[in-house]
Amino acid sequence: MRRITPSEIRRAFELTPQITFEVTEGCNLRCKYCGYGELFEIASHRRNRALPWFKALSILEYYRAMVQRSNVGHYGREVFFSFFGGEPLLNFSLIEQVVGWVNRSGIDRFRGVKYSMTTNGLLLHGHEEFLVDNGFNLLISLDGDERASSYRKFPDGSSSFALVKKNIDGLKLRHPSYFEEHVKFNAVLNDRSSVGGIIDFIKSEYGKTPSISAINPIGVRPQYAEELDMMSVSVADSISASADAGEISNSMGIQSPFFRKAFDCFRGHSPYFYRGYNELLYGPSATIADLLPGGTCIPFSKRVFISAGGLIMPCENVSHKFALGSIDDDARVNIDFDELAQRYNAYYDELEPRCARCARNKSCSECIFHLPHGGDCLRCNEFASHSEMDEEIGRYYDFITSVPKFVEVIGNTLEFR
Amino acid sequence: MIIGNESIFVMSPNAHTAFGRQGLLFVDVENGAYVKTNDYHSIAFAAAISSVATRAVRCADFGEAHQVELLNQLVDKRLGIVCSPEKVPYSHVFQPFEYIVDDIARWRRNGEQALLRQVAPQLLSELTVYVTGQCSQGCPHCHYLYRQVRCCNKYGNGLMPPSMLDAVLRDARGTALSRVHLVVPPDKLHQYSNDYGAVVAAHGLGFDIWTSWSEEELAPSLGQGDCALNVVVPLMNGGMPQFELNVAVRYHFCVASESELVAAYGYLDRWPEVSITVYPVYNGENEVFISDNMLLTEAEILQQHIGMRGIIRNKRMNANAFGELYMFANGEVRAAPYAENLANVTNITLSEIAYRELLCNDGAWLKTRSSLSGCSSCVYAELCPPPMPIDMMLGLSRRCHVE
Repeated sequence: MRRITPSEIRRAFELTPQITFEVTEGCNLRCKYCGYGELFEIASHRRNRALPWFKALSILEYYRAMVQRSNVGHYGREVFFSFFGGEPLLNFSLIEQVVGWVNRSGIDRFRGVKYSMTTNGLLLHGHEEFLVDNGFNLLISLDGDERASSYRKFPDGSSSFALVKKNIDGLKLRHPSYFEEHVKFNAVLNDRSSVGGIIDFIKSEYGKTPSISAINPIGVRPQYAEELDMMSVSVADSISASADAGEISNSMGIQSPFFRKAFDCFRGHSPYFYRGYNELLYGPSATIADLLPGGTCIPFSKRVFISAGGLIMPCENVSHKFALGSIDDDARVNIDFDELAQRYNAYYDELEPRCARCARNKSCSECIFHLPHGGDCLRCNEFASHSEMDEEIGRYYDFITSVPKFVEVIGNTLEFR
Repeated sequence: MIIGNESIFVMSPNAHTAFGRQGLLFVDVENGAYVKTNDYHSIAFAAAISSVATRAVRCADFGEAHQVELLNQLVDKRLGIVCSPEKVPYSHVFQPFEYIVDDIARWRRNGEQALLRQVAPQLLSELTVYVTGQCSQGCPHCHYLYRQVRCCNKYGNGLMPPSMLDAVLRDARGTALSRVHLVVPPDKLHQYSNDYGAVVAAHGLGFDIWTSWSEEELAPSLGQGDCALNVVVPLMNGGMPQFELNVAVRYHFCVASESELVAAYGYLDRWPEVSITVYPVYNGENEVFISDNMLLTEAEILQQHIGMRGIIRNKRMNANAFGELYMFANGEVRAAPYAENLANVTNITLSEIAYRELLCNDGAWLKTRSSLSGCSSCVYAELCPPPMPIDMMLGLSRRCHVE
């Protein structure tokens, strides 16, 4: 299995599809299951910080310099500037500054520029025009109807549902075509909801199919593990428990967790999967020697995540102790591509003995940063023998062949590219 | 073969099925084993098995005598297997259920022009540069020759300024371009190789030199290292020149008649250590020679063992032209030397030209057998080699002896 090089990481930074700013750690809700909430270790590290403009500007200028210096492979690509929290609209002035700077920066000569935001919807009213004018893609967190959304509470314990719904309804009414094109929903499944119920509600109210995720248990404090577990329901279990599981799966389409896994399996294991016409011409390059151990993303290949404290992270789901770099108080951006390659290769050295024998190594999605440590080394519990993998492939293949136009569906969905 | 009520027939993952004017073909693309039938009653079976991604059908649904006979033949040739549904032996492999992430055909169909524009630069891999349109060689049939083989020509008139090539390559830094073929006339071989080679090398690209044969001695410095020297020995109207070959050079003999072919084979025998390729070329009047020496027989087509990737590739692209652009001395660019002019590099970049080629309905990169009138209804359309310059020159719609 191969190792990563500094130039590969640098290239991933230059080509990153998303730069996400955690504009604030503050939030106007206290969702019970929130990964940044009181049930989780990370809560003690969050201090309602807001990302200062000079740090956002530093990384923007660093990125612009990188893309200006090397125009390799940029042709026609897009980059999303995304805003995350906390509730990002609590620090609207920073969002305005970033968008204003990017719009004047000339980055659009090298990339298609787009904006996106994940929001709880409480402050939508009042910022609608700005979001519409800049074509923001909005991902609104809404768990379904009032009962399903009842873990999403204000600090005083009251429900946020009515106000959120009023704001979403207002946005839909005032900007119907924007709403149609740019607004999506994300729901967290919990013990007060079901996959079918969430889909029914959001489809009937807004005509959209939401993405649905389970409660994230990573980083829960041991004393709250049971409480979190009581709230948690697996998406697959919820679908299977329903009388019309097949229909739910179909209506979820690519949002179905099985769909994603089937696609990953197909991509990793099918000899008839090609990234593009060059692979058709010269042959696929993914032999075991071309694989990196584990399923961790190449740093920056999915996004560059800037925490409110100025840390540069691979994504929002990784502990700050694994930061890839930082922006310090004198506005200097610190990313050492050589050190990153060394660090990742040290992880790979630990993983390879097991990964090389694992039949799932071509479709692995295990992130190093979420693996438990056993003794001094990383432990992966997803090891699969060849017979186990054969069985799994069979299941996925049955699924793929049961979905009408699977190829068309994934082919028309950018996230599968 | 015993077929139980619950038995299913499952196609081998290596089996390719094709319908055509000759009937129905099942062929193992790895070993060439095949079953061909023109019994049109079997089409229902073939249609059924081709329409399901599992490529499995219940034997009981195909119990008529001629269908059982077909199943027997397929099993005998190992093009499939009859088994119980629980014991499908191919479960560990996906059936040929192709998916191409950056699928140009799909994007073209769906009008996804932004995606086509984005991917185009990554598909451009080779550039042929005719540095001059001033050639004094006077080769017979030049007009036909330069459109089939990389050789100097009189198209594009003047001399390309090195600064033009430099600008083009600078603009192409965002592409996957990795190799440049410089075509120079023999009387300026050394000068142009140095001048234009230096421009290409300055951009970190590999290059090789193509020139036409002349009686001048080749400098020993040429054809060294990564820069290959290719010498095209053009048509001589039957009179093949006799000369000593240089082991450091790759020779490309163009032949248009039986006598030239024999003479070229003479070089092959005499110089086994030298790289020699023999190209039958069309000169406007030798259709019979081409037919006798280039067209494939049915057996030759079936024995190519192109694999399932070859089938998928032949469905979607012309592997003989894909990824290449040809730039003439006046800046005009074509996707193949026989193709129409796409644009002039003084106006737009190679990336944009590659994008135009992808949009082109009659372009060279995506020209498949199935898009040619004589091949589109042929059962071998996806097995046959993709269109070559000579096919396009001759207006040959198929490259075989198959009726």
